[in-house]
Amino acid sequence: MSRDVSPISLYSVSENGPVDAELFHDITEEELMDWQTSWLPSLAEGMQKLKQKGVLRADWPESAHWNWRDKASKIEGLLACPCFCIKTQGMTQGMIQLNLVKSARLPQQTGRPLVFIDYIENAPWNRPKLHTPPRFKGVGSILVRAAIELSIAEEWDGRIGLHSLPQANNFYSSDCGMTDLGKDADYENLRYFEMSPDQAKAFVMKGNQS
Amino acid sequence: MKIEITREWCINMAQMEGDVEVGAGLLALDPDVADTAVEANVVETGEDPQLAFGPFVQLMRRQIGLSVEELANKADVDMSDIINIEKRHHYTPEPRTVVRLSQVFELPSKRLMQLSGNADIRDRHFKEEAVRFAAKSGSIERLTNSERKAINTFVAILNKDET
Repeated sequence: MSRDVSPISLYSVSENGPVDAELFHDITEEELMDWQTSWLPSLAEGMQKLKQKGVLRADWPESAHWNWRDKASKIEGLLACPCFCIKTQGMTQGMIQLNLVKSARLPQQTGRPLVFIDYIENAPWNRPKLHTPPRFKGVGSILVRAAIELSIAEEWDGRIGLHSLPQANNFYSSDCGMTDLGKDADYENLRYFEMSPDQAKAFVMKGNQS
Repeated sequence: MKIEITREWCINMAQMEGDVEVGAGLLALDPDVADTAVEANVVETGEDPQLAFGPFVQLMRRQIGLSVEELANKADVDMSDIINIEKRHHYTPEPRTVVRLSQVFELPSKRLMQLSGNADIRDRHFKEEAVRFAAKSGSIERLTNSERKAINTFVAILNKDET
Protein backbone atom coordinates (compact mmCIF):
# COMPACT_ATOMS: atom_id res chain seq x y z
CA MET A 1 0.00 0.00 0.00
CA SER A 2 1.50 3.39 -0.94
CA ARG A 3 2.03 6.03 1.72
CA ASP A 4 1.72 9.78 1.52
CA VAL A 5 5.23 11.16 1.60
CA SER A 6 6.88 14.57 1.13
CA PRO A 7 10.54 15.05 0.20
CA ILE A 8 12.56 17.05 2.75
CA SER A 9 16.16 17.50 3.82
CA LEU A 10 18.02 17.05 7.07
CA TYR A 11 21.33 18.59 7.99
CA SER A 12 24.04 15.98 8.37
CA VAL A 13 26.55 17.08 11.00
CA SER A 14 29.29 14.70 9.83
CA GLU A 15 28.90 15.71 6.18
CA ASN A 16 28.35 19.36 7.09
CA GLY A 17 25.56 19.60 4.57
CA PRO A 18 22.08 18.48 3.51
CA VAL A 19 20.94 14.89 2.99
CA ASP A 20 17.74 13.79 1.33
CA ALA A 21 15.03 12.63 3.70
CA GLU A 22 11.32 11.86 3.66
CA LEU A 23 8.40 13.08 5.72
CA PHE A 24 5.86 10.26 5.86
CA HIS A 25 2.30 11.17 6.75
CA ASP A 26 1.87 8.25 9.13
CA ILE A 27 3.75 5.93 11.48
CA THR A 28 3.73 2.26 10.56
CA GLU A 29 5.11 -0.99 11.93
CA GLU A 30 8.36 -0.26 10.11
CA GLU A 31 8.98 2.88 12.19
CA LEU A 32 7.88 1.16 15.39
CA MET A 33 10.45 -1.55 14.71
CA ASP A 34 13.09 1.17 14.22
CA TRP A 35 12.08 2.58 17.59
CA GLN A 36 12.25 -0.81 19.24
CA THR A 37 15.43 -2.15 17.67
CA SER A 38 17.46 1.04 17.14
CA TRP A 39 16.13 3.93 19.21
CA LEU A 40 15.88 1.99 22.48
CA PRO A 41 19.39 0.50 22.43
CA SER A 42 20.85 3.88 21.44
CA LEU A 43 18.89 5.53 24.25
CA ALA A 44 20.14 2.96 26.74
CA GLU A 45 23.73 3.45 25.59
CA GLY A 46 23.43 7.22 25.88
CA MET A 47 21.94 7.04 29.34
CA GLN A 48 24.62 4.63 30.49
CA LYS A 49 27.21 7.23 29.49
CA LEU A 50 25.30 9.93 31.40
CA LYS A 51 25.25 7.70 34.47
CA GLN A 52 28.99 7.08 34.21
CA LYS A 53 29.61 10.81 33.94
CA GLY A 54 27.57 11.34 37.10
CA VAL A 55 24.93 13.44 35.37
CA LEU A 56 21.92 13.95 37.65
CA ARG A 57 18.92 11.84 36.68
CA ALA A 58 16.85 14.98 36.41
CA ASP A 59 19.07 16.00 33.49
CA TRP A 60 18.61 12.72 31.64
CA PRO A 61 16.31 12.68 28.58
CA GLU A 62 12.80 13.23 29.83
CA SER A 63 11.13 11.03 27.23
CA ALA A 64 13.37 8.00 27.75
CA HIS A 65 10.49 5.87 29.09
CA TRP A 66 8.09 6.65 26.24
CA ASN A 67 6.68 3.63 24.45
CA TRP A 68 5.78 4.49 20.86
CA ARG A 69 4.27 1.07 20.29
CA ASP A 70 1.79 1.69 23.13
CA LYS A 71 1.05 5.18 21.83
CA ALA A 72 0.40 3.87 18.33
CA SER A 73 -1.88 1.08 19.50
CA LYS A 74 -4.05 3.51 21.50
CA ILE A 75 -4.75 5.69 18.49
CA GLU A 76 -4.96 3.02 15.83
CA GLY A 77 -7.70 3.80 13.36
CA LEU A 78 -8.54 7.18 14.90
CA LEU A 79 -8.87 9.84 12.24
CA ALA A 80 -8.47 12.55 14.89
CA CYS A 81 -4.93 11.38 15.68
CA PRO A 82 -2.75 11.67 12.58
CA CYS A 83 1.02 11.08 12.75
CA PHE A 84 4.13 11.98 10.80
CA CYS A 85 7.63 10.58 10.82
CA ILE A 86 10.94 11.52 9.25
CA LYS A 87 13.24 8.96 7.71
CA THR A 88 16.61 9.11 6.06
CA GLN A 89 19.17 6.46 5.14
CA GLY A 90 16.59 3.80 5.91
CA MET A 91 16.10 4.86 9.54
CA THR A 92 13.41 6.75 11.45
CA GLN A 93 14.77 10.06 12.70
CA GLY A 94 11.75 11.60 14.40
CA MET A 95 8.08 10.94 15.14
CA ILE A 96 5.08 13.08 15.99
CA GLN A 97 1.56 12.19 17.08
CA LEU A 98 -1.14 14.84 16.64
CA ASN A 99 -4.64 15.43 17.94
CA LEU A 100 -7.40 17.29 16.11
CA VAL A 101 -9.99 17.70 18.87
CA LYS A 102 -8.46 20.41 21.03
CA SER A 103 -9.06 24.17 21.02
CA ALA A 104 -6.90 27.23 21.28
CA ARG A 105 -6.37 29.10 24.57
CA LEU A 106 -4.57 32.21 23.36
CA PRO A 107 -6.73 35.28 24.14
CA GLN A 108 -7.56 36.17 20.53
CA GLN A 109 -7.88 32.55 19.48
CA THR A 110 -9.81 31.05 22.38
CA GLY A 111 -12.08 28.18 21.42
CA ARG A 112 -10.89 27.93 17.81
CA PRO A 113 -9.67 24.52 16.68
CA LEU A 114 -5.97 23.80 16.49
CA VAL A 115 -3.62 20.90 15.80
CA PHE A 116 -2.36 19.70 19.15
CA ILE A 117 0.95 17.86 19.38
CA ASP A 118 0.37 14.92 21.71
CA TYR A 119 3.95 13.67 21.38
CA ILE A 120 7.07 14.59 19.45
CA GLU A 121 10.44 12.94 19.77
CA ASN A 122 13.83 13.02 18.06
CA ALA A 123 15.88 9.85 17.54
CA PRO A 124 18.45 9.41 20.34
CA TRP A 125 21.50 9.84 18.08
CA ASN A 126 20.20 13.27 17.05
CA ARG A 127 20.06 14.51 20.66
CA PRO A 128 23.19 16.37 21.82
CA LYS A 129 22.55 15.35 25.44
CA LEU A 130 23.00 11.71 24.44
CA HIS A 131 25.38 11.71 21.51
CA THR A 132 28.14 14.16 20.66
CA PRO A 133 28.08 15.24 17.96
CA PRO A 134 24.43 14.57 17.00
CA ARG A 135 23.92 12.88 13.67
CA PHE A 136 21.21 15.01 12.06
CA LYS A 137 19.66 18.39 12.76
CA GLY A 138 16.36 19.87 11.72
CA VAL A 139 14.03 17.07 12.83
CA GLY A 140 12.16 19.17 15.39
CA SER A 141 11.59 22.14 13.06
CA ILE A 142 10.32 19.94 10.24
CA LEU A 143 7.89 18.06 12.47
CA VAL A 144 6.55 21.37 13.87
CA ARG A 145 6.20 22.57 10.28
CA ALA A 146 4.25 19.41 9.45
CA ALA A 147 1.82 20.19 12.28
CA ILE A 148 1.43 23.74 10.97
CA GLU A 149 0.81 22.51 7.41
CA LEU A 150 -1.84 20.09 8.69
CA SER A 151 -3.48 22.95 10.59
CA ILE A 152 -3.54 25.02 7.39
CA ALA A 153 -4.98 22.09 5.42
CA GLU A 154 -7.74 21.82 8.05
CA GLU A 155 -8.40 25.57 7.54
CA TRP A 156 -7.22 26.34 11.06
CA ASP A 157 -4.70 28.93 9.84
CA GLY A 158 -1.61 27.22 11.23
CA ARG A 159 -2.72 27.19 14.89
CA ILE A 160 -0.90 24.54 16.92
CA GLY A 161 -0.44 23.77 20.62
CA LEU A 162 1.62 21.44 22.82
CA HIS A 163 2.94 20.74 26.30
CA SER A 164 6.70 21.02 26.21
CA LEU A 165 9.01 18.75 28.14
CA PRO A 166 10.99 21.06 30.46
CA GLN A 167 14.26 20.53 28.58
CA ALA A 168 12.59 21.69 25.36
CA ASN A 169 10.97 24.88 26.70
CA ASN A 170 13.56 27.08 24.99
CA PHE A 171 13.06 25.39 21.63
CA TYR A 172 9.36 26.20 21.61
CA SER A 173 9.66 29.70 23.03
CA SER A 174 12.79 30.92 21.19
CA ASP A 175 13.25 28.76 18.10
CA CYS A 176 9.57 28.31 17.27
CA GLY A 177 8.38 31.68 18.61
CA MET A 178 5.40 30.16 20.40
CA THR A 179 3.57 31.83 23.28
CA ASP A 180 4.18 30.31 26.70
CA LEU A 181 0.85 30.15 28.49
CA GLY A 182 2.40 28.84 31.66
CA LYS A 183 2.34 25.62 33.62
CA ASP A 184 -0.73 23.44 33.15
CA ALA A 185 -1.77 21.80 36.40
CA ASP A 186 -3.76 19.19 34.45
CA TYR A 187 -0.72 18.13 32.44
CA GLU A 188 1.86 17.33 35.09
CA ASN A 189 2.68 21.05 35.36
CA LEU A 190 4.27 21.02 31.92
CA ARG A 191 4.34 24.41 30.20
CA TYR A 192 1.67 24.85 27.54
CA PHE A 193 2.77 26.58 24.34
CA GLU A 194 0.59 27.79 21.51
CA MET A 195 1.24 29.22 18.05
CA SER A 196 -1.17 31.75 16.56
CA PRO A 197 -1.72 32.12 12.80
CA ASP A 198 0.70 35.08 12.73
CA GLN A 199 3.32 33.13 14.66
CA ALA A 200 2.89 30.21 12.25
CA LYS A 201 3.51 32.54 9.29
CA ALA A 202 6.59 33.96 11.04
CA PHE A 203 7.93 30.45 11.72
CA VAL A 204 7.61 29.50 8.05
CA MET A 205 9.13 32.80 6.90
CA LYS A 206 12.04 32.40 9.29
CA GLY A 207 13.34 29.42 7.34
CA ASN A 208 12.88 31.16 4.00
CA GLN A 209 15.26 33.97 4.92
CA SER A 210 18.82 33.17 3.85
CA MET B 1 -2.45 16.13 1.66
CA LYS B 2 0.44 17.81 -0.09
CA ILE B 3 3.25 19.32 1.98
CA GLU B 4 6.02 21.22 0.28
CA ILE B 5 9.05 22.12 2.37
CA THR B 6 12.09 23.36 0.46
CA ARG B 7 15.61 22.13 1.09
CA GLU B 8 16.64 25.70 1.84
CA TRP B 9 14.00 25.98 4.55
CA CYS B 10 15.00 22.66 6.13
CA ILE B 11 18.69 23.50 6.26
CA ASN B 12 18.21 27.11 7.43
CA MET B 13 16.00 25.92 10.29
CA ALA B 14 18.38 23.06 11.15
CA GLN B 15 21.27 25.46 11.48
CA MET B 16 19.23 27.81 13.65
CA GLU B 17 18.10 24.95 15.90
CA GLY B 18 21.42 24.59 17.65
CA ASP B 19 21.82 21.90 20.31
CA VAL B 20 18.27 21.69 21.58
CA GLU B 21 15.86 19.12 22.89
CA VAL B 22 12.51 19.11 21.09
CA GLY B 23 10.37 16.69 23.08
CA ALA B 24 6.74 17.48 23.89
CA GLY B 25 4.08 15.35 25.50
CA LEU B 26 3.02 13.94 28.83
CA LEU B 27 6.05 13.20 30.95
CA ALA B 28 4.90 10.30 33.03
CA LEU B 29 1.67 8.99 31.61
CA ASP B 30 0.18 8.32 28.23
CA PRO B 31 -3.07 10.28 27.94
CA ASP B 32 -6.28 8.30 27.80
CA VAL B 33 -7.42 9.00 24.26
CA ALA B 34 -11.03 9.20 25.45
CA ASP B 35 -10.08 12.24 27.54
CA THR B 36 -8.70 14.29 24.68
CA ALA B 37 -11.93 16.31 24.36
CA VAL B 38 -11.67 17.58 27.96
CA GLU B 39 -10.38 21.14 28.17
CA ALA B 40 -7.51 21.52 30.60
CA ASN B 41 -7.34 24.53 32.93
CA VAL B 42 -4.16 26.54 32.80
CA VAL B 43 -3.13 27.69 36.24
CA GLU B 44 -0.84 30.68 36.25
CA THR B 45 -1.60 32.78 39.27
CA GLY B 46 1.96 33.58 40.28
CA GLU B 47 1.49 31.34 43.34
CA ASP B 48 3.21 28.02 43.10
CA PRO B 49 2.43 25.64 45.98
CA GLN B 50 4.97 23.20 44.56
CA LEU B 51 7.62 25.59 45.91
CA ALA B 52 6.70 24.30 49.38
CA PHE B 53 7.53 20.68 48.71
CA GLY B 54 11.32 20.92 48.66
CA PRO B 55 11.62 23.02 51.83
CA PHE B 56 9.03 20.82 53.52
CA VAL B 57 10.94 17.61 52.80
CA GLN B 58 14.18 19.22 53.93
CA LEU B 59 12.70 20.51 57.18
CA MET B 60 10.98 17.20 57.95
CA ARG B 61 14.24 15.37 57.27
CA ARG B 62 16.14 17.69 59.60
CA GLN B 63 13.42 17.51 62.23
CA ILE B 64 13.73 13.73 62.42
CA GLY B 65 17.52 14.06 62.37
CA LEU B 66 18.36 12.35 59.08
CA SER B 67 20.96 13.15 56.46
CA VAL B 68 19.97 13.09 52.79
CA GLU B 69 21.53 9.65 52.45
CA GLU B 70 19.80 8.32 55.55
CA LEU B 71 16.40 9.55 54.36
CA ALA B 72 16.98 8.01 50.92
CA ASN B 73 17.85 4.68 52.51
CA LYS B 74 14.91 4.77 54.90
CA ALA B 75 12.47 5.65 52.09
CA ASP B 76 14.15 3.25 49.65
CA VAL B 77 14.51 5.94 46.97
CA ASP B 78 17.48 7.30 45.04
CA MET B 79 19.58 9.85 46.90
CA SER B 80 19.54 11.99 43.76
CA ASP B 81 15.74 12.17 44.06
CA ILE B 82 15.98 13.66 47.57
CA ILE B 83 18.64 16.13 46.41
CA ASN B 84 16.52 17.19 43.43
CA ILE B 85 13.41 17.55 45.58
CA GLU B 86 15.21 19.74 48.10
CA LYS B 87 17.26 21.80 45.66
CA ARG B 88 15.18 22.19 42.51
CA HIS B 89 12.05 24.29 42.84
CA HIS B 90 10.07 22.75 40.00
CA TYR B 91 11.26 19.19 40.21
CA THR B 92 8.34 16.76 40.20
CA PRO B 93 9.37 13.40 41.67
CA GLU B 94 7.78 10.14 40.63
CA PRO B 95 4.64 9.16 42.54
CA ARG B 96 6.40 6.17 44.13
CA THR B 97 8.99 8.46 45.71
CA VAL B 98 6.26 10.67 47.16
CA VAL B 99 4.37 7.71 48.58
CA ARG B 100 7.56 6.37 50.21
CA LEU B 101 8.32 9.77 51.73
CA SER B 102 4.77 10.07 53.06
CA GLN B 103 5.24 6.70 54.78
CA VAL B 104 8.51 7.79 56.38
CA PHE B 105 7.04 11.11 57.50
CA GLU B 106 3.74 9.39 58.51
CA LEU B 107 1.66 11.87 56.55
CA PRO B 108 -1.26 11.46 54.10
CA SER B 109 0.22 10.59 50.71
CA LYS B 110 -2.62 12.41 48.92
CA ARG B 111 -1.55 15.76 50.34
CA LEU B 112 2.09 15.16 49.49
CA MET B 113 1.10 14.14 45.96
CA GLN B 114 -0.60 17.51 45.62
CA LEU B 115 2.32 19.38 47.10
CA SER B 116 4.84 17.60 44.87
CA GLY B 117 2.98 18.52 41.69
CA ASN B 118 1.76 14.98 41.01
CA ALA B 119 -1.89 15.84 41.61
CA ASP B 120 -4.15 18.87 41.40
CA ILE B 121 -4.74 21.10 44.39
CA ARG B 122 -8.36 22.12 44.27
CA ASP B 123 -8.48 23.25 47.90
CA ARG B 124 -7.71 26.97 47.69
CA HIS B 125 -6.99 27.20 51.42
CA PHE B 126 -4.43 24.40 51.25
CA LYS B 127 -2.78 26.04 48.26
CA GLU B 128 -2.46 29.32 50.15
CA GLU B 129 -1.06 27.58 53.23
CA ALA B 130 1.52 25.79 51.07
CA VAL B 131 2.70 29.04 49.53
CA ARG B 132 2.80 30.68 52.96
CA PHE B 133 4.90 27.80 54.31
CA ALA B 134 7.30 28.02 51.36
CA ALA B 135 7.81 31.70 52.07
CA LYS B 136 8.56 31.05 55.77
CA SER B 137 11.01 28.16 55.40
CA GLY B 138 14.72 28.88 55.36
CA SER B 139 17.89 26.90 54.73
CA ILE B 140 20.00 26.96 57.90
CA GLU B 141 21.25 23.70 59.31
CA ARG B 142 19.51 23.56 62.67
CA LEU B 143 15.78 24.14 62.90
CA THR B 144 15.03 27.44 64.48
CA ASN B 145 12.05 27.84 66.77
CA SER B 146 10.15 29.64 64.07
CA GLU B 147 10.95 26.89 61.53
CA ARG B 148 9.82 24.29 64.04
CA LYS B 149 6.59 26.20 64.61
CA ALA B 150 6.04 26.62 60.86
CA ILE B 151 6.51 22.96 60.10
CA ASN B 152 4.32 21.79 62.97
CA THR B 153 1.55 24.12 61.81
CA PHE B 154 1.86 22.85 58.26
CA VAL B 155 1.92 19.20 59.35
CA ALA B 156 -1.37 19.83 61.17
CA ILE B 157 -2.82 21.18 57.91
CA LEU B 158 -1.59 18.19 55.93
CA ASN B 159 -3.28 15.88 58.41
CA LYS B 160 -6.59 17.69 58.03
CA ASP B 161 -9.13 16.11 55.70
CA GLU B 162 -9.57 17.86 52.38
CA THR B 163 -12.68 20.13 52.46
